[in-house]
Amino acid sequence: MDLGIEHYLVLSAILFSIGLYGTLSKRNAVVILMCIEIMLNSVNIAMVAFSRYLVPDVVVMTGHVFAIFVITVAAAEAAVGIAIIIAIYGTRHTIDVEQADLMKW
Amino acid sequence: MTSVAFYIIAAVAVGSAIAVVRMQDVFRAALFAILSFFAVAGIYVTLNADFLAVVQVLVYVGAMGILLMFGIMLTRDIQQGSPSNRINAPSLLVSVLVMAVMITVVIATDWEDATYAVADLPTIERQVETTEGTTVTEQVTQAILMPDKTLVVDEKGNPVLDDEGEEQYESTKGSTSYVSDALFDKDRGFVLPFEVASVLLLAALIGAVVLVRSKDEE
Repeated sequence: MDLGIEHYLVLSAILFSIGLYGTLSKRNAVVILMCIEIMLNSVNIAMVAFSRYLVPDVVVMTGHVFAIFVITVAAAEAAVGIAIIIAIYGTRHTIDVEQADLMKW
Repeated sequence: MTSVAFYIIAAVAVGSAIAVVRMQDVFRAALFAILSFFAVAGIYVTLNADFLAVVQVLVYVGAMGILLMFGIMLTRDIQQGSPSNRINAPSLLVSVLVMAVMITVVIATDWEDATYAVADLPTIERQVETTEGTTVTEQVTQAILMPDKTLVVDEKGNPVLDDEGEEQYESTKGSTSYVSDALFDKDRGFVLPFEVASVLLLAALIGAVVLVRSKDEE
């Protein structure tokens, strides 16, 4: 059976939901960061699949360009995120997100 | 052939993503996250996106993997593991619902109907210099396109014919030059966003250094 855009979009939906579950339910900040990266990856799969399949026999390169920008922003976000986690650990000696509640009203 | 590869790689990607959220050991969860990123690079290969696959391996598997390792090692919260919080069951319900809705919509959509012909794509006018030095206006599609197949030609540029006199096609070799066209083309490229992205990376670099700098150095 030939591959279609549905296969890639279903894979993207499954990966996105796994990442969403991890982001919502985990308490360790590093694990939450990993789950966010999985979600960004799944969105990239969807974009590259659209660029491949939306016009037959031709790949529209705009989807690839968007995926490259998403990867760039994800790299910047991960660097700042890890830095924030290390800063929180330096002051509070935990990376449990439920205990980082200084700004909670 | 490609579909067999797709199913194997997709199973690895989904399985290791599940392992990331199920694993109690944070370090092993990070290793499974790296495996998941690597599988996504394989998915890109099945989509004719070889340049993106290389970028994925370099940035995610290489840089992001090391960064996650450093984050785990420098925070030493491993003994606590990766516990779930109080909204574990509701968040599982929400994500299953989101997945069900997305998969239903994807299956229900008629993708044959949603595809465009190349002739339907929006076009722009651009000035092109000819070899005689004059400029002519020509119509080109707004997006850079990479053909799935290219004509096989000999050194003089003439098409190579097979035994039955038919023109031969081969799959296009590499998306790198098309990605560079799409990024840096004078009329249709993304040069300004590219420069903004480099400023963003610089800002993130400085921000990360400022955040982790120890306070008593001042």
